[in-house]
Amino acid sequence: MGAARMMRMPSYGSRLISGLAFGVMAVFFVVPLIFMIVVSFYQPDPMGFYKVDFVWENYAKFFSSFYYTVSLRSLYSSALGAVLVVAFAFPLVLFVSDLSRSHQQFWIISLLSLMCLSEVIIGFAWLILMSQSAGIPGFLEWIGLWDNPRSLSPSFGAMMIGLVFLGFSIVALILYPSVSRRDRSIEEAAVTLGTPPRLVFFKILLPTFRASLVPVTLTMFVYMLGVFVMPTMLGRPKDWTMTVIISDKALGDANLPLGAALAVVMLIVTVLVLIASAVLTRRRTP
Amino acid sequence: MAALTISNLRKSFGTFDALKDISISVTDGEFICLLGGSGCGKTTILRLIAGLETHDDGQILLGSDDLTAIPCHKRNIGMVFQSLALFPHLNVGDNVAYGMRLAGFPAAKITSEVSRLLNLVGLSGLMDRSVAALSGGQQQRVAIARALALQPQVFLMDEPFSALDAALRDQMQEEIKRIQRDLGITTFFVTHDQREAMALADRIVVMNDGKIEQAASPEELYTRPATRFVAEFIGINNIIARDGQMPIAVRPEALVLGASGDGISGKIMRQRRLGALLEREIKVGGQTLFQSEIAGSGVSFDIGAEVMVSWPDEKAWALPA
Amino acid sequence: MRTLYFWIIGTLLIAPFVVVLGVSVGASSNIAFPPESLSIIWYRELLTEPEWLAAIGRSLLIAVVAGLIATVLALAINYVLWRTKTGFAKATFALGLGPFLLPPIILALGASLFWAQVGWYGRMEATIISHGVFFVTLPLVIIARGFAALTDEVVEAAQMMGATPAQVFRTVVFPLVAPYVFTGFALVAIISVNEYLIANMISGFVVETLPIKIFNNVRYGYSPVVAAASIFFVALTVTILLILSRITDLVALFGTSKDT
Repeated sequence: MGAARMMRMPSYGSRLISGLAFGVMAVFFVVPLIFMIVVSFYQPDPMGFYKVDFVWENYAKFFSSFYYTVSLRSLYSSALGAVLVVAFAFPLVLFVSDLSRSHQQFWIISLLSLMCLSEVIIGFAWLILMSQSAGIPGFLEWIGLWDNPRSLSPSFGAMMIGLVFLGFSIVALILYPSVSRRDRSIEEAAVTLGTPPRLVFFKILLPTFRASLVPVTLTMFVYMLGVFVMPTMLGRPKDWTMTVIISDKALGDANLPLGAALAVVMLIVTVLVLIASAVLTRRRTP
Repeated sequence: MAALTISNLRKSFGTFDALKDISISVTDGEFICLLGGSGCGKTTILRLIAGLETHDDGQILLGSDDLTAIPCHKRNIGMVFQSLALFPHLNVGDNVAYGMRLAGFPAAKITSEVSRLLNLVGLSGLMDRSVAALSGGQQQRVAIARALALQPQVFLMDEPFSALDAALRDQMQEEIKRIQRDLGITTFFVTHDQREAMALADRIVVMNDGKIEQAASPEELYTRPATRFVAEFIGINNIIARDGQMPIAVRPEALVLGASGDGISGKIMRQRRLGALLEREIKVGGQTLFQSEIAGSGVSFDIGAEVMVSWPDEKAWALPA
Repeated sequence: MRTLYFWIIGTLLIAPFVVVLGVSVGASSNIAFPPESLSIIWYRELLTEPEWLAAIGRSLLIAVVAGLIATVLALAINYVLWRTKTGFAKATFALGLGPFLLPPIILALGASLFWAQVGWYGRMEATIISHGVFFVTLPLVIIARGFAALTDEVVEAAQMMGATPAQVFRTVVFPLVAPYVFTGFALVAIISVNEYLIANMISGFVVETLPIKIFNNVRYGYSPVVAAASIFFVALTVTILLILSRITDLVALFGTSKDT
C-alpha cells in the first residue's frame, strides 16, 4: 500500500477519535431521546419527577379531546406557516440570486443574522411593533386611519407573522444554493419558445424547483411544530401549539411522563415527515 | 545517472490485475509517453514510480538504486497530476517554493529559484498571484514549475493537458518539450491521445490490458506497428485479412486507386475533400478501406465507381493476428 | 415589481428592530415609539445592573465553550471520515446531522430528563454540553466543505515534494480547513448565545442566560432595558457575522460560486 492509500487505512488513532466522537453523540444525543421514550411509560408523581413503571396511560391521555384539539391546531398552524414561508421566501431568493455579488453578500449576511437571532428577541420585537403604544396601531392612529387603536397581539395572526418571520431566513438560506446555481438558459429558452416573461415563474421555475420546494416545506413544517416562543409571546392560550403544552406539562405541572409521551408522539410525526421528505427527494433526483 | 529500469513489474488491486509483467529500460534524459486507453495500467506505472503505490512483484531501479524500499517523500521525483493538485491556500510563489521550504533551503535561494522556475515556464512576475486567479494554462505552468523545483531525477506527468482546449494543448506540448530538452530530465508522460504522444515522445510505450504492446519511436510505431491493437490505436484503419495468411496493414495514404490494372476490386462508397486532402471510403468484399491522397494527385472517380486498389509492397506489413 | 418586492420584504424584515431600537433609546420608562426624547439610560442600566451583566457573562461563557465542543466534535468526525471513509465514520456523520432535523422541544425535554437522571439538572455544565452536542450539525456541514477541497492528489503532491505525514497535516490539511473550522465555531457561538428553549429546560431556573432573562422580563412586565438588551444582541450577532464575512467568503460557503 502506498502512502496515499495508507491514509485510507483505519489506523489506531483514527479509530479512537471515531469511537470517541460517536460515543459523545450517542451519550448526549441518542441516550436522552431513548430515556425520554422510557420515561413516557413511567407513572407521574406529583411529589417528585416520576415513578418507575410501565403504563400506557400517558399515551391514553393524548387521545383525549384536549390534546386532539391542540395537535390538530399545531398541525394546522405549522402547515399554514410552512407554506406561507416558502411562498414568500422563494421569490426573494430568485431575485437575490440575480443581484451583483456584493448585493448578494449583503442579503446573505442579513439573512444569516436573522437566522441566528433569538426567537425571544424576534418575538419581543414583534410584540412591540404590534403594541398599542409603540407599533403599527399607534402609527395608524397618528396618520388618522384608526381612531380607537388597540394592540394587535396576542392573536392567531400575530403568532403566524412571528412564525413566518422566524422561518423566512432559514428557508431563504436553504434554497439559496440551488437557486443561485440554476441553469438560467432554461428560462431564456422558455422565453424564446414563446413563454410570456411573467409566466416563466409559474411555467418553468416552480416546476423546476419542485424537487427543492417540497422537502424544504416539509422541513419548515417540522421546524414550526417545535417553535415555542412565538405562540407564548404573540398567541392567545387557545393558539398554543404542542410544543408549548409539552413545556408546560414538563416544567409547569411537573408531569414529566405526560410531557415525554407527547414529545414521543411529536418525534414519531417528525420522523414520518422526514422519511416522506427523503422519499420525495430521492424519487425526483435521477 | 537517472536511467530508470523497470523489470517484471506486477500490480493488482484486489482481483484486478492492473499490471502484468512490465519491463522497460529508459535512458537518462529520455522522453517516454505511456499511451493507452483507460484502465490499461499507464497511470499505475506512474504511481509506482512515484511511490504512491507499491508493486506486488518486480523491480524499479533508478540508476543502480532499488526504489522499492524508499518511501514516496524521499524519492525526489517530480509529478504533475491530472487535477494539477495545486495548493489552493498558497499563492503561485508559495506553491512552487513548497518543496524547497520543507527541505530547508535558505530563503534567498528559494526566492531566486522560484523566479528562475517561473521564468522557465513563462510566468515571471506572477509570484504573488492567487492560484485561483489564474487561467487553466497558467495553472498548468505553476504545476510544472512546482514539480521541477527540487530538480527531480525523474519527471512524471499524468494527462496534464486533458482539460485544455486544442490550441492551448498544442502550445503547452511545445513548451513541455522545450523544457524537457533544456533540462535533459528523464520524463514519463501519460496520455490517451496518440497525436500528443507522437508530438512529444522519444519513445512511445503503447499499453493494453496491463501489458506493453509495443515500445518504439513514433516513426517506427507509425510505419511498423507490431500488433493489430497498436495499428488500430494509432489510427491505421486498413487491416486486410488474407486467406491462410497473417493479415496485412496498409496506411491510407499508401493505397493507390486505378480504373483498371492490378490489385483488388472495390467500390467507392463515399469521398470528401478536406482542404488539400481527399479522403475516400472503399468497399472491398465485406470490408471498408480508407484511402487518402493529395487532391488532384490521382485519377478522379465518382461515388459508386468500381476501382482497383493496390499498394506498393514495401508500404505494407504483416501483423500477428 | 422586483424592486417593490425587495423593499416590502426588506422593510418587514427590519421594521421590528427599528422599533426596538427606538424604544431602547427613549427616555420614557413606558414602551413608546417614536421616542419623545433620546437617552442612553437603558443601555447604562443593562451594562451596570449586576443581574443583566451576570446573564450576559453566563451566555457568553456557555456560547464559547459550547462552540469549542461542537467544533472539535465536527472536526474529529470530518477528519476520520476523510481519512478512512469507513461505514462507521459515515454513520457518525449522519448521527451528527440528527439534532438539526428534530424540533428543539424534543431535544430539550430529552436532555432535561437525562440531566435530571445524571444529577446535573440545573448546572451550567449540562447546558454547555447539550448546546455543544445539539449544535454540531452546522460546523459538521461547513467543515465537510473544507475537507472536500482536500483531494487525494493534493495530499500526494505534498508527499512527492518531501512532506512527511505530520508535515502534510501542518502545511496542507490544517491551513486548508482552518477557515471553515473558525466559521463553524463562530456560528455555533452565535446560535448558542441566542438559544432559549434548550437552555431553559435544562437549567433555566438556575442558570439564567440572556434570552431567558429577556423572556422572563417580557412575560412578567417589561421595561425598555429589554429593548436595550435586544439591540445589544442584534449588534453582537451582526458584528460577528460581518467579521466572519471578512475572513471567509460567506457567499461561496453557502454554495453559490458559479465557477465551480
